[in-house]
Amino acid sequence: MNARASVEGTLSIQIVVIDATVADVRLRSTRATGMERMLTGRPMDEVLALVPMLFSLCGMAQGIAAVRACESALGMFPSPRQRAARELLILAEMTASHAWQVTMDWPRLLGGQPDPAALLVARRAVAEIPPALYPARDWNRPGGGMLKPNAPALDDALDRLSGTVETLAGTGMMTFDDIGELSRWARSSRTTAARMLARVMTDDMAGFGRSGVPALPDLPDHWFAERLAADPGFSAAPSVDGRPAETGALGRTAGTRLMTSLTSLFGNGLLPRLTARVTDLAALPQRMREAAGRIAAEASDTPSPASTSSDATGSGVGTADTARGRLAHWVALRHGIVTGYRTVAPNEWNFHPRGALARGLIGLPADDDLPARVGLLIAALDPCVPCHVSVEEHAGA
Amino acid sequence: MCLAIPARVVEIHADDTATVSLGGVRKQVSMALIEDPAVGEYVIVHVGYALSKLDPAEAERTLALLASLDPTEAAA
Repeated sequence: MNARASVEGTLSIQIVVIDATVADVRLRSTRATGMERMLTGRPMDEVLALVPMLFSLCGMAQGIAAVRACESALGMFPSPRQRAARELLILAEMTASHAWQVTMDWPRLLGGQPDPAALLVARRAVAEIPPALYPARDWNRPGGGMLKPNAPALDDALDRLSGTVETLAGTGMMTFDDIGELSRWARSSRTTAARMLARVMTDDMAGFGRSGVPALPDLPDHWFAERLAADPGFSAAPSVDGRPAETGALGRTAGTRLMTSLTSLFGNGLLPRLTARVTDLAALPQRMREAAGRIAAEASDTPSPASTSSDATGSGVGTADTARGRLAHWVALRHGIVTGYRTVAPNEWNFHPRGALARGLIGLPADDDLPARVGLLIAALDPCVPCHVSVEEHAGA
Repeated sequence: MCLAIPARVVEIHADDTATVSLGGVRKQVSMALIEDPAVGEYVIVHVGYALSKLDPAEAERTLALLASLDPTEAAA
């Protein structure tokens, strides 16, 4: 296969069935995790320019994790105003990612057609936010770029994004207390999100795929720094002291009354996972408004010097939350040149060979409904590369 | 964390799709998420959809970087 065409990678999921039961799930990722090789030896400023361009869905979060890692290595501390602006950029990208699922992936899983027109409205608004904050598009400059918010443009983009989120997620998600209220909404609304949750409830799939794999705790940056620096294998198969963990909307929304109620009934099964995504999406407009409010409330800061020190030496880590979960970048610098670069992304936590997908399926009955249910579980965990699922039946002992 | 691979638009079709060249491999993708696509422009493709346009200099730089990555050595 052509090198460039194959570099994106795929996730192969092989389900082994013995005696009508899922006996094993074998995950194999060909997703390229060769960041270190691509970026090592290049000047820091060049790496910071390249990183956001390398990722199609989460370039902003990747770019911000990268600049945070460099700032940590350089001992730089961006101002509260810069931090709020970056948070807004990340949340806007997260909105577009969740919107992709609800407009493109979920209709297909429900037997319908994707709705790119609805997604385009969200993506257009998201694309207007970086220039409305950083007209020079230098949002990923160490210490912070030239932050000159264009309040009317920002308001307009946020208004349209809020409207899209309301259309996609409904207006009640943040007020539901329990499965009864969720269920009434899911049965009465005709939106894709409601129909998806209704289907999971109607088809008795609320707890499908639940496993004992815990949510990735809210670990400090230095935890990631220590592991990424010490272990080149951590990027491809991360764990918390040897145990896999799950990262994403389920962890972020834990603690709301609705999610506490759902997880007490169905653990980390399909209904809690999918509801968490809709809840996460529904909460984003307010979170974006709060970040925009902090930018407006903080005094203007003096931008950092345009050129960064060429004798920069040290190492550091930066993290960022994406729709799919926590992302961490680690960088080592010597005289301004990158000598080491490692990352760990949500895909590698959630599709770990012994992680949430594998553990959630092993032991389940392998009936005719299994492939469709597996499709929903994969969508709930939301891999960032195409997935190929195969089922292999083996003779029992 | 899928890598964003620039693809060049080589032909635009009437049904809101286009043929793009991805490192020499041609494939047909939807243009529903792109406004006013033009032949010769670079776009980022994700699961059958062109996502966004790239300026040619950015695209060339990304392609050169991706070419330095040998997929046969990619982590399993």
